[in-house]
Amino acid sequence: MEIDEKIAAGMISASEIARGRDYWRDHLQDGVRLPTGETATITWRGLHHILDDGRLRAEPELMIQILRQVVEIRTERSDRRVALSYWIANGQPRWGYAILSPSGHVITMHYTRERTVKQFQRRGSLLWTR
Amino acid sequence: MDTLTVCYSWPGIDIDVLRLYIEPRRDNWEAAFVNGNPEVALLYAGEGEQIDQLAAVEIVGFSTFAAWDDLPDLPLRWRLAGEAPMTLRQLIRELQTRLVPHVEATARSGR
Repeated sequence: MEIDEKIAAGMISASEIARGRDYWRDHLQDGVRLPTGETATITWRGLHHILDDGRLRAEPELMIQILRQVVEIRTERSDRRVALSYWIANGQPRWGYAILSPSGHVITMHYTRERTVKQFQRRGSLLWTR
Repeated sequence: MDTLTVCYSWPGIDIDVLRLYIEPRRDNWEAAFVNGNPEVALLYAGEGEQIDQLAAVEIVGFSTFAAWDDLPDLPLRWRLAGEAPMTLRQLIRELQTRLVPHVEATARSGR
């Protein structure tokens, strides 16, 4: 189901998608510099996939937060990499992750929880840590 | 065994991620990996500290996905609208066959 179909079906708010698109144009379309120095990119198609998540639609700046606050990158299958993020928001620890394609495109990103982070840290090989 | 009605999205090979959304749709997700494999995430929804309603399943690398043993062992069946219920493995395999051209070709020649 494409994003416009989801809007038409009332599953997703058109105004939130418009805000996410505006945010992408203003802040994301040229990529985001990771702490490693690499630039990760979110494509237009990837953006719409990411904006399925209501949290990221409500706060599109979290897309940048997840990418800028990367603390660890590990290998994954098919030359993908998983970038783990950690930050403090309103005094609370927050975790997120992004999966990067071999060419540095973000193919998915989410908030996650601490126990998932610990699972993540048992897989693959460590490529980079802050 | 409960049956969930789901719909799906798969942007394509460039964003090779399948999502199965459980109806009625809920978002504000928090992801948990299954068996520690980030290719298979359960997306939970909820409010505040109660993020515990399974809302979607996400398969990264869907077009070549073969980590069948890493799928969650949930006592559920999954049904696309108007179709028969299936196990999660059957549904993902069925969608690979429908959506990914080379899988369709392989399935045809291998049957």
